[in-house]
Amino acid sequence: MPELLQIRPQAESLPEDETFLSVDISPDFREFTQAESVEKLVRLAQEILADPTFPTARAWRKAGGKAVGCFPVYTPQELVHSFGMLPVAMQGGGENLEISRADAALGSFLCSISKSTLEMALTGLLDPFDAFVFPYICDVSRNLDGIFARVLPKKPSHMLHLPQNFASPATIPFLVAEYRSLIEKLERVAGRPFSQEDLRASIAVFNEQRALVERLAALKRETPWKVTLVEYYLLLRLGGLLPREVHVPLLRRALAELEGRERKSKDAIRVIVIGPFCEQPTLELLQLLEDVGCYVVGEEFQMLHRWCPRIEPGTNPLESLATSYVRTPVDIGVRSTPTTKAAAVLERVDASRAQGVVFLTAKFCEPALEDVVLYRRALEGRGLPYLHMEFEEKSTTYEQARLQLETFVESILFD
Amino acid sequence: MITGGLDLGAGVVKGVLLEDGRRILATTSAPSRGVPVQVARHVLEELGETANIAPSDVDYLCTTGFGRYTIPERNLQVSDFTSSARGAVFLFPKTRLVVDVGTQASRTMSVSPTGKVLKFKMNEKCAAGAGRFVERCSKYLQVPLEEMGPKALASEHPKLISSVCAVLAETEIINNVAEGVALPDILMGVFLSLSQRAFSLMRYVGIQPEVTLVGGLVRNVGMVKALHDTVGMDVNVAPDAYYAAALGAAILGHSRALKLAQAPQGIGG
Repeated sequence: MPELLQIRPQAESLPEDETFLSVDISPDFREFTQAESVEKLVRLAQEILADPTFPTARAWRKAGGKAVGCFPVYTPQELVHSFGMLPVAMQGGGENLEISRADAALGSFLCSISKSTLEMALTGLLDPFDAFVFPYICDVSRNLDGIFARVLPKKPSHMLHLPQNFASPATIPFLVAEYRSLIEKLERVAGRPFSQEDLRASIAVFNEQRALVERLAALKRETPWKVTLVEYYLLLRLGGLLPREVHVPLLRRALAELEGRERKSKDAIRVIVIGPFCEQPTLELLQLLEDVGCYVVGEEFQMLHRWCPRIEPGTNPLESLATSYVRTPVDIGVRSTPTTKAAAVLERVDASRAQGVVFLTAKFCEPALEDVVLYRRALEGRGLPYLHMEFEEKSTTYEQARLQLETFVESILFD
Repeated sequence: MITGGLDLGAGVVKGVLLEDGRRILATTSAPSRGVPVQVARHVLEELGETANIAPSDVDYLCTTGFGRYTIPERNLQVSDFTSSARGAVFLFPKTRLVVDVGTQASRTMSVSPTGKVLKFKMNEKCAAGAGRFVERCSKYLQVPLEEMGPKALASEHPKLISSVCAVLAETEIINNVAEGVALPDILMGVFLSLSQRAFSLMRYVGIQPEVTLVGGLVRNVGMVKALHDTVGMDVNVAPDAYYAAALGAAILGHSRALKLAQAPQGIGG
C-alpha cells in the first residue's frame, strides 16, 4: 500500500500543527500545504475548478490510491475514507465544459449538472475514479446511477437510498442497511474489509474538517467583510476535492489569516442564499452578489461538510454515522420536511440577522424549486424581502442577474 | 438643486432635468444608434439648452438602463426597476403596479406609496415580450412604428398570436398576411400578444390598481388599449411616462444629494 494511504490520525482530534502529515504526500498536494496565503489558495482552487479532469483525484491515483466520485448532496464520505480511498465531490463540469454527447442522451428540461456529469463520463474525464456514489436526492440523480452502470460498466456505481421519514424507529436501521450495501461495493473496490476502527479514525478526520468549516461559516456570518464570498466558497469547495488531511491544516491556516484581517465593512445588506446545494453557480455570479452590495451571511454551499457539527463514533460508528444524517439540523431541499420548512427558513433568517433572502436555484432543480414555494409563503408572512433567480452551469452574461440583484438591494437600501 | 436622470436603454437614450426633486425642467430622447455614451452626452447638452443651464449647474447625475455604468461623470447608478418605479409614482401617486415594456425586456413591479419596489419580475431571454418584437413587426409589415398603434385601433377581430417565440411569431404573422387577415387585426394581435406576456409578469407581482404603463410603448395607443383589455382595468398613461426611468433616476439622485448635503463631508465626500 502506498504511503499516502496510510495517513491516519491517531487521536479523536487532530493536532493543531501539521505533524500528522508525516508521510511524504504527492508533490501535487504539497503546493496546497505550502501555500503561503489565502490569495494563493484561491488561485490554486480556481485552477482546479477550471480543469475538468479532476486533478486532485489524478494526483491521488498517481500516488497509488483509489478515488470515489461522490455526486451531491450527501455521501457518507467517512465510509469511503475508512477504506483508504479518496472521496471526491463531483459537482458538475463548470462553465468551461462543452456539452455535446450528453445533450443527445438527456432531455433539454434537465439540470446542467446531470448533463455535464454524463458528458464527463462519456468523454473519459471521470477516468481517475474507481467507483461512483449517487445519493437518491432526486429522480435525476437516481437515473444517473443507472446510466453510469451502462456507460461505465467496469466501474461500480452505487445508488444510495436516503430515508425521508425521519421520525420512524426504522429510519436509522434502514440507513445502516443502506450503508452496508454500499460497504459491500467499497470492499470490492478497495480490496480490503470494512473496519470499525478505521471508520472511527475517519470520523475523527471529518469532525476536524467540519469544525473548521463551521468556524469559517461563523466568520462569514459575523464579519462578512473579512472574507469575500468567492474566497469562502473556494475554501469550502477545496474540502471536497483534496485529501481531507491536506484540507484540514490548509483551512486552519487560512482561518488564522482571515480572522486577523483588518478590513472596513461596506454599506451592504445581509442576505442568505438558498438553493445552490447541488449544482454550483459560477464564481462570477458569486462575485456579482457581493459587487451589487450583498453580504452573504448564510447559504447552502458545499453541504457535504455540513450535515452535522460533530459525530460521536461511540461503540457502533456505523450507526452513529447514520444517526448524524437522520438527526441533522440541516433542512435543505433534498430532505422532505414540508411541515417544518417555514419555521426553518425563518430561524435561519433570524440566526444570521439577514435582511432578505436570495433564492438561487439551478434551472430545472425540482427539489429546490418546490421548497421555494414554502419559503416564500413564510417570508411574505413576516414581510421579509426575497428574490428568486435561476442559474445554469454555463452562464456567459450576467446583465439580467445584475439588474435583478441591484433592484433587490436598492429596494432594501432606499426608503 | 438640479438633478439629472439619464436612462441609457438598449434602443433609446432618455434624459430628464429636475429642479428640487419636484419640477421637470426638461426632457429629451435620442436613438442610441449603438453609441449610447456619445448619445447620452448629446442628450445632456440638449437638456441644458432647453432648461437654459450649464452642465456644471447639474448638482447630481444619476443613470439607469443597460448602459448605466458607462457614464464616468455619473454620481450614482440605479437599476431600471428602481428608477421606473419612482418615476411612475411621481407621475401617478396612486400607482401600485408598474408595467415597463422596453426595447429588450418587459418588466413589472409592485410599488409602495413612496415608489419603493416591493416585488418585481422581468421576462428572460425572450424578444417576444419586448419592444424589439414590435420593431420587427413594423419592419416586416412595412408600417412605420408611430402608425402601428392608430392602425391597430381599427381592428374588429384581432388575430391572436399563439407562438411564445419572437421568431415563430413572425412566421405566424407571415402566414396571417398570406391568408389575407386584415392589417389592423394583425397589428392588434401583436399588441395583445405583448400584453399577455406582460400580464403573466404582472400576475407574479400581484395585480392591484392603479396600474401605470411606462417606457417606450407608452406612446403607442394600440399597446395601451391592448393592455387595458388584457388587464381589465384602467391603465395610467402620460406623455412623461415615456421618460419614467430617467425621471425616477433624477428623483433618486435628488434624494441622495440631499442626504449627502446634510452629511458633514457634503456631496461627493
